[in-house]
Amino acid sequence: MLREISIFIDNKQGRLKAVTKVLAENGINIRAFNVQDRTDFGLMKMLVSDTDKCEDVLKAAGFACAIRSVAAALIEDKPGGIYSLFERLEIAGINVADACAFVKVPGNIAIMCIETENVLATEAALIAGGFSVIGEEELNF
Amino acid sequence: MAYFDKDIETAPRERLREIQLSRLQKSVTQALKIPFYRDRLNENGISSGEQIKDLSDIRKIPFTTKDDLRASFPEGLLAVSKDEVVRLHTSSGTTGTPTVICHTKNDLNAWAGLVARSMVASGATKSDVFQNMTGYGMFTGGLGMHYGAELVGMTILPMGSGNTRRQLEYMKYFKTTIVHATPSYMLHIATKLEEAQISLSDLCLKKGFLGAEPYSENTRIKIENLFKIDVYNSYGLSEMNGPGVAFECEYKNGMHLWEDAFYLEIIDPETGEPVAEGNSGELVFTTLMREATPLLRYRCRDIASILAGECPCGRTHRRISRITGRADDMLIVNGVNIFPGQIESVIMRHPEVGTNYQILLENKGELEKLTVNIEISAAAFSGDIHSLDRLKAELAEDIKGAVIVRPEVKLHEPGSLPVTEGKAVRVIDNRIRI
Repeated sequence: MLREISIFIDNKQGRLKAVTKVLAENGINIRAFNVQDRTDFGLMKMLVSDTDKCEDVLKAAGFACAIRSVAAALIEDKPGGIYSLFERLEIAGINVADACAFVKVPGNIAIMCIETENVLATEAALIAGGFSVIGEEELNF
Repeated sequence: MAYFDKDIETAPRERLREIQLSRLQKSVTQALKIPFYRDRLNENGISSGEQIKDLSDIRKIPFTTKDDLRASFPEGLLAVSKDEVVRLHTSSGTTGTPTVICHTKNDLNAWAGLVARSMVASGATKSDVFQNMTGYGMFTGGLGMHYGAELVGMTILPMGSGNTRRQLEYMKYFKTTIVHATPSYMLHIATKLEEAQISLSDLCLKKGFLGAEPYSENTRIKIENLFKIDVYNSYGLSEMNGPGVAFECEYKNGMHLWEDAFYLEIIDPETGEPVAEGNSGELVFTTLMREATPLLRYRCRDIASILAGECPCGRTHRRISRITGRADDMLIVNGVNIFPGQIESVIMRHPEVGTNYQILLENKGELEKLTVNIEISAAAFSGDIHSLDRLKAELAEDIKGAVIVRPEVKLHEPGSLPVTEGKAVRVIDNRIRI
């Protein structure tokens, strides 16, 4: 299981910069990064090196942020790597609310994060399907 | 010159004053049946209508405010038994609580008479075809104008508001001669004629009774030119029934205020003292004919002035100017009265948003757009984007439920809405005055 941090930002110039500036100034490294657009606002979603510190410094800077757990598994960085994971989730009847993937070892290993209703059930389903479910140490910070 | 009620409309001032005094005494007697007024009046030494010996004695009576009406919700200020009430109308309170005005059969008849009188003053007759394009329902403009038109004997199209294409088509099919609408709606439908494939030559329009929102002389002329009609300004408020409080005659130079039905005072909103003759101030009304909910010295918060001089139409009821402003923060959007406090009440009910909001008013073509910008609460933020989507939709629905106009809701970061000199600015009005 990994902890993902979400930050609410206005859809206007300078907001992405403002958030990433706080992270830069506090020595926080980002492993995965995504922005969801809702026209007048957006949600930044990230996997970072020190999730608790990240939340603290962003809150101190006045941002609305929250930490959520997501299931994460190792997949092959080869054609079919992601397909086989979604195939497994469908068999298990698990709906994906959001997902992101990034490479850990090029040509070899990638990490897939899945946001679902029930993280533990998702992890169990992935393990049953032969996937390795990971924790924070795999993010290599 | 045709009159609906010539005797009253052209009564000499002396006789009008006699009628006013006699009716004021009856109104006070009637009001004393209401516990709220009984306590108020007794505190001020008044225990019977007879104690009002002169019209100036009205100043012994304290003012009534919208808050007094809100506080009486839902029973209302009722001087008759509930069985006698045949209709009630609610209207927006300054925060969430509405106000209620009750009517007996006599009240409704009197109201219809005032509206009929107003319409005939513009030259309307039973041969006219009247298309009522404002909302029916609790909004007093709809039913109020409807019953007045019926009394005049016009053919009524009870359209209600919206559905512009159909409004235009029916104007053509049924040869509408008179419309009742807001000025902004008239400007709006002028832009829709081409799309509906209707030209002015297809229509038989002669008059427009326009009100429910302020508009300038320039806008009147603009609408008159767009439709080749005469436009008559109409003023009313639900506390004084609805439409039929003041209306322009054929001379279209100020609105005759029906002084046998309403005793008018104009006060300085800061001090409560009467203003010098001809100066503008807050309109204060006392009902002279109402049975169910008589109102004494009701401060309506509209600012206007009495126009001097006699009107060539022969009516002796004085004319008031256009409404030039408000003594409170009430807004009018597409003809609908909105208090920022109503929107605030809705926002406060949602813990996912903070307490900082801003209302933005803009023009949208010829109509008006309401946007409510709200900061989310950092503490309540869960990171779930779907709940934010739901929150936005719920807020829009709830605000619409409170103020009737559908807003666009935009969510913002905590602390991001601008403040001016440390104070929250609640309303930004970028509309061009029409």
